[in-house]
Amino acid sequence: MPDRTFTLDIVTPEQLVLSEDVASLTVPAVEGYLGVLAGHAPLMAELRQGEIHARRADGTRVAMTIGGGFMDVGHNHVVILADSAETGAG
Amino acid sequence: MAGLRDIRQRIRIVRNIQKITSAMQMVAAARLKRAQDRVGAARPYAEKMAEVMSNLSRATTDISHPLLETRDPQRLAVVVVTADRGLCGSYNTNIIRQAVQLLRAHAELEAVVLPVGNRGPASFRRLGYTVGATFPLPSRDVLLSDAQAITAEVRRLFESGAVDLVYLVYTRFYSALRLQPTVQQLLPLQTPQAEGVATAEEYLFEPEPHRLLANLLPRYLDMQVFQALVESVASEQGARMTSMRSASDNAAEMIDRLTLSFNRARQAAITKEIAEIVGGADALKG
Repeated sequence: MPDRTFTLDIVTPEQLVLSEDVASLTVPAVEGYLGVLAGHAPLMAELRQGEIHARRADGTRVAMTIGGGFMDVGHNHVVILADSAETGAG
Repeated sequence: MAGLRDIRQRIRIVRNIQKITSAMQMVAAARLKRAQDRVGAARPYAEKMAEVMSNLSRATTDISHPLLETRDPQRLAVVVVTADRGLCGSYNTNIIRQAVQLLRAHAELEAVVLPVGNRGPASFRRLGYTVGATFPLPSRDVLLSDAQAITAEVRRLFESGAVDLVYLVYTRFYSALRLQPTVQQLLPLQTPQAEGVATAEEYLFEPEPHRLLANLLPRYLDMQVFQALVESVASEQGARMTSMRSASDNAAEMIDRLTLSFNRARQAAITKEIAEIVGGADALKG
């Protein structure tokens, strides 16, 4: 059975960095790393500088380094407002 | 009729000017393309930010934050985004006129102008307005930190109670031919209103809502100013491109006219010379 997915958007003031369907997500929240799966309850969190890891439904992984920001988890839709974002883990 | 040499001289001058204006037009066109891309790239963040803000205001009932505090207005600050340079048609004039209109509408308030870009300060001083901090508008790409320099000053004024109301005047970019001087209220912050009814969904917050808001609102302010700067830069290049194109066209027209009068003068000189020779020959025949 394929994993349930949700939409992940990562935007910085300068550009839309990523917009994809992913199955799971780990972000650096201010109070520690946070995992998000499809169907997560609505959540708003502040992020600190760190790495974002996401896994697509086919098992491939995406890694990004962000410089702080905010995350809004809505109805199967996650928006990350990052101050800056670079592809790849640091 | 002006001498042949004078006319030739003027043609040369106009041709040189035309070279400069058409070069400027091309530079502006290239910069416009770049600036236009930046405007497009900044939009998703602004939209998502508005979305997050409206979710947050829907989820929390009592939002209170220094940046949202509405006071009886006594003092006003106006941030005006002008260009750093001239030669861009009526771009600067229009934005300054818009700002003056706003200042006149609030004539009962004590006002301070915070100009962004070199073209602002002198104009506002000449018009008799108090000019506060001034900011440069970099000719490289606008960065978020450029916006943050402005918001830091604006927040300092607002939070210390030195001003009660802050407006932002900038030029909205719709297309190279459609530029709209725009007035926007910066502070107290106006959060995007949540549309539709409040959902029963309980939002989780990390950290707790008021601390989250305290960190999110300044970012929201930064983003609004950033967006305004990016749009202003695109507008400036659009205005410069248009005005330089019409300057080049005018120069071409002028060259045509001058060439015509040059040819006429040359012909008149030749005719006169022939008439003289013929006259001389007739006299010899006697």
